[in-house]
Amino acid sequence: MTQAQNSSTAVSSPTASSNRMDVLKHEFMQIWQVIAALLLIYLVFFVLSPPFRSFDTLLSIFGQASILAVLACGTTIVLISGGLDLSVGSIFAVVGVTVGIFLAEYELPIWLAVCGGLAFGAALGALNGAIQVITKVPAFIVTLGGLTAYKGLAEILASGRDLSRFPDTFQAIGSGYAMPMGIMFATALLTGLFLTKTRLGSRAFAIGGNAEVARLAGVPIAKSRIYYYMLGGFLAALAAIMEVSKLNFAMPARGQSYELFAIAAVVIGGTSLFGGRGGVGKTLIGMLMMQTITVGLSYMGVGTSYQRIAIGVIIIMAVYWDVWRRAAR
Amino acid sequence: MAAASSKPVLEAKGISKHYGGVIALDNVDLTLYEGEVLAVVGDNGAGKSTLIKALTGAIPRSSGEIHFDGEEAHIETPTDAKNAGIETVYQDLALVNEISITKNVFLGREILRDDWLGKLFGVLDFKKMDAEIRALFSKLDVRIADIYRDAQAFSGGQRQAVALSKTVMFGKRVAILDEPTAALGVRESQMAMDLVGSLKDHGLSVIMITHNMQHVLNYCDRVMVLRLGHLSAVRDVKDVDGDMLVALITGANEGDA
Amino acid sequence: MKFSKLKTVVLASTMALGMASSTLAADLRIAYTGYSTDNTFWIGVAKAAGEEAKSQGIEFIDMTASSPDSAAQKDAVDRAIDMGVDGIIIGSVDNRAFDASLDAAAKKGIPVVAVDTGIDHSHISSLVQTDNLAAAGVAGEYIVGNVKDGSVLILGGSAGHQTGNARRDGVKNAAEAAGLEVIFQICDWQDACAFETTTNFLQSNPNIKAIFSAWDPGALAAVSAAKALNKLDNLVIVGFDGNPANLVAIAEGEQAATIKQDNTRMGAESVKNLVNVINGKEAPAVVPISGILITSDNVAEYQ
Repeated sequence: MTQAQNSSTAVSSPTASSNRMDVLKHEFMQIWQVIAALLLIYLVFFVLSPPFRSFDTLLSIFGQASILAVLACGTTIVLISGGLDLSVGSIFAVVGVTVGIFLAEYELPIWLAVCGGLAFGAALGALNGAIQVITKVPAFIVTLGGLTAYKGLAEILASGRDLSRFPDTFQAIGSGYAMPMGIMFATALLTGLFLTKTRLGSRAFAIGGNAEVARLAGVPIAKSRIYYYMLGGFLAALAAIMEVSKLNFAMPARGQSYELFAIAAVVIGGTSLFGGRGGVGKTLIGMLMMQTITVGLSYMGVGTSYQRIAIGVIIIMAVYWDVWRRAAR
Repeated sequence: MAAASSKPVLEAKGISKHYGGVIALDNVDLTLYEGEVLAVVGDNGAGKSTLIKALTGAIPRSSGEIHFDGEEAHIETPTDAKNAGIETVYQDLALVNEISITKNVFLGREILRDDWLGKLFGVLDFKKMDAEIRALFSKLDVRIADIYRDAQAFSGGQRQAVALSKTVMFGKRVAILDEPTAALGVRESQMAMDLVGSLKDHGLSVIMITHNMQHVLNYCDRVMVLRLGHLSAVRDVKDVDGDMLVALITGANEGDA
Repeated sequence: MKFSKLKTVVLASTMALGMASSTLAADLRIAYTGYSTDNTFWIGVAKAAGEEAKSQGIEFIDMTASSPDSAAQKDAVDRAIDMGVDGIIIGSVDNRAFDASLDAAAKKGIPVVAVDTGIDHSHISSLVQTDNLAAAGVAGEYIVGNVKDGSVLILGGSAGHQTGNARRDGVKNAAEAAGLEVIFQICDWQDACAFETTTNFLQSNPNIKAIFSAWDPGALAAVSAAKALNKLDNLVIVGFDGNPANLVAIAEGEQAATIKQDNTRMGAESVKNLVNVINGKEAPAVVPISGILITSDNVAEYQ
């Protein structure tokens, strides 16, 4: 198949002056369609709905997408490495409740409550990875177990407690649009740098692409995988802290289906569910696309049930487009 | 062809591999001398790939020991083999399609930046890695310019050239190749074999699995024949011809067994 | 190119969805977000509110999420504020979530009213809520009208629960005023407890003529218990909520009555209140809504 394109083998294109700019151009070629689709959807609502045209609306799209976008950055790492974590929604719930208890009941300093929550989320993520590595039970099953078990843990921790009315400084983390947006962009930037510039991050693509080749090349697969799940848990915890701060209360019912919204954003952006390919920029665009549809349709008075149908259609079209494009190449 | 020395680099004694009750490899000995190319031939299922994987720690051995430069070497994982100076190109498992040539060549042995970014966060030094690959490719006359592109974009011959180059870059003593010309066209095979031949010039001793009798006769110094998991013969290439090899492989000639 | 075809599909489908909710040309535009759209009670509230708005010629935007989700609801309120609607109605999933949003609404001068559940914030101008005391009073009057003497057993909610206490007191006040004896048992809204308590009291106290359960499934449990003891015929059993299963029991003559919260009035009143606030008129801080008594006479209307 690919042999045909260059039968002269090693004598390949000596004229090609390949450099870093070409790579950037190549990556842009991969992502421009998703950006174009996002702009197009924005434009449709811009034309159809006068109140949608305001700058506040644009801010609200970014601001309201930010919590799930942070969570989805973690999902991107895990999916690229060929893994899957269905339990991040429940990690989200349990960390939210834990941070709520730290603040409302023990009145810990905010920085300590936040760090404690992040550490707890990272630990639960790492546990997901460790169980898979040790027992060899598939990711789907292990994290499905985590989905229920962590949810139960959140319910036990929260029972009989009123976890609300946190200090004003804590509320600043998730309130308004500016701060969540800042956290979202910082998270996406750092995740992107992690994946492209660091040894551990770049190995995620190799492990997700072909774990056996990576193993034979001397990559410590098991340890790396645990780290990716740990980062997924960490970012779920960060998202949970943002939401607890935004809502000013914590309860175990939060985070429901968030893992699926995150996966949806990742898929719409064009990251492969089978590992080895993808990027956090794509995920961000996927999340913004879903949020634009949600906001735009609700501005036009279209109910959430219809919004869900629209997002479902977009998910399938995005993957169809990806498959079609690959086949055409 | 340069005469091989009589000093053994790698000696494996009594290597066996059992899968439950099935004996894939039974008590096989192997000696590789400094500077030679040793061919391993045999029919499908004769145990060639199993032997190589057992030698390089890719699969655990049921029994057997490995000596390197006359001393016992403990090779239990692929990393142990690499540390000992043995570089392996596994069939179909040489490159990850989804990552660039640079990342593929340095996979598992990435170069980190010298500064705090590298020490603290494991930030990669792409500049240095790219430069080393370009230097290597020019030394081996491998003409691949787009080292940033995913491995998938390259032809079978190009991919094999990259995998073989990797053995020169990292293999201090021994290169082990599992069918380096499988799935290659005639022209590409020729180039890959020229590259294999040049490995010797870079100080490597080579073990090569192959199905191609012409390659054995033209490029190798000695040949060992496996049959049904047993070592059936070891010969100097100058003492055999194609018909004799085929007879040994099929069992028409029972060899030393 | 294929992708442009896909784009056309996206465009067309979003437009079609947009057209489905053709916007009214209206002077006023209000946003509503209720508990969820998967709950019959709240569907009724939203429908009544929408109809009231329509009759006043006001554009009504329903932003209710399809399942109870406080974050989605908060986002919806924020979105309504960004849109610059003229007023907002909130039937909150969790009333603790809205501090920052209501601050923003206050800043922009967008009035907000609450329905069903109060929200503790100075910017909430009005609350339309079921008056549990008054509604249970209706149940009490019904019992008094159907039982001449004897005792009334009240199966209560949890101890100290505001709603549970109000429902207990409504029945208790009416019954005691009519000279009936009242026995109160706490059951924490647990159906099993309602069953056991009913069984024990019917066996030990032949004087019990009526049973009021503060929640409808509890009334069904009382019906089963009485049936098992063959004492259903002489009993007046009244519940609270108007659940479908209880309406069936009422139609079949097993349960005597239930109290249904008047969600139609709640929806309509909340719109009226909001419009009054928007127009600078007075609106009461709390609009209590009484319950509707459902018996075998009118049960068909609600089934």
